[in-house]
Amino acid sequence: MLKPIELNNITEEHILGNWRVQSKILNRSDPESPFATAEEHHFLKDSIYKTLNGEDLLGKWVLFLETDIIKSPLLKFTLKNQAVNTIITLLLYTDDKEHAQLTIYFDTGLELVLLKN
Amino acid sequence: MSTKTIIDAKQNTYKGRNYITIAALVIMCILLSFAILGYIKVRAVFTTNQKVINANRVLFLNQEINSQTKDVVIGTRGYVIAHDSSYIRPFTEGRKKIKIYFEEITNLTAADPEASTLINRLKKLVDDRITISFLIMEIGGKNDQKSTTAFKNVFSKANALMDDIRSTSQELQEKYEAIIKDSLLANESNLRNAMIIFIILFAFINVILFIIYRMFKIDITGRIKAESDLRNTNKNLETLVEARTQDLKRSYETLETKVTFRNLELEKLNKAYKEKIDQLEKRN
Repeated sequence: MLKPIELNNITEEHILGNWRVQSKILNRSDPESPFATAEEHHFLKDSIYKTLNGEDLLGKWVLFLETDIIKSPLLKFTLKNQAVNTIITLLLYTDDKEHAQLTIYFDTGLELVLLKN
Repeated sequence: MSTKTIIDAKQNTYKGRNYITIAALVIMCILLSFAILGYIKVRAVFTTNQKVINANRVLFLNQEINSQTKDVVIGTRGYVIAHDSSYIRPFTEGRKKIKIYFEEITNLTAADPEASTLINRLKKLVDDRITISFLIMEIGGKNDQKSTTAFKNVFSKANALMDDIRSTSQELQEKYEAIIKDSLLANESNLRNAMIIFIILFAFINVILFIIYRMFKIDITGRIKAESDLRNTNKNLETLVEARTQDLKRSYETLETKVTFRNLELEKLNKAYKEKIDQLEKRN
């Protein structure tokens, strides 16, 4: 059973791994962006980020908390020399840490629900 | 639910109640009949027991009358033979006792005409025998030829009376022994019937109590289950409402965060555009 992780307690360890897209809400302004088309998102060590099964790209990812204005943790991507900010709205994990669900929200309105297992 | 359905349901409930009332009345009547029947049988046992006690008393008094009559006769003989007045005492006491016994036995047998006839006959025979005893004592005291002849005649008559007394007494005894035997048989039958009636009554009451117990148990069990179900439903509902409230709260917070985040990003964009426009203006 998936249980929510307190947003303030999210660490990089939680994000690391290969995630596949379970569902997404596309934005009208940029539905063809690499984030919207990729079926897999790999968050690797040393901040390496990869998108697969869409437009296969290599970039960077950084996690940081900005609790003054926004309580949710921020995930910052750098892809094709462009920085894209997102927020984590939900992170669920099973007790054995084998399964997880991550929801990230882009400033464009794109929302991705990712699964790890 | 329509008005007609409600009226029908109410009528059915009243019908059901009427049936239950009728059934209860019938059961009460049956129970009452059994109880009355049982009471009659038990009362018959007590009545017959009293009859047996009376019959035994009659037998005892009959034997006592016989015995006292013999004492009277023996006392008379002793006086006549020994001319000793001490023999008069059993004679006198015997007479008194016989009188008392006859009074009691007459009362006890008053309801039975056949027995009363026998008692009257016995009383007359015993009285005659006592009268002859007086005569014997009177004649026995004289020692002449005439008295001797008269003594023989009287003695012969006395013997005949004693035989009659014995046979009448025997008849009375047989009659009352038969009454006791019949009464005991009737008692046995009455007791058996009363026992059967009370066993049936007891079993019937037990069955009714069991049915009532089952009815109440089913009713109470159903009510307890319904209450438990209702409690569980309420609890589930409360949990559901709580969960939904939490979901809504989380959704609202998420939405709020999303809006803030987008506003921030828009501000950044605006700032960037502004800087770009400023740079273009400076170039121009």
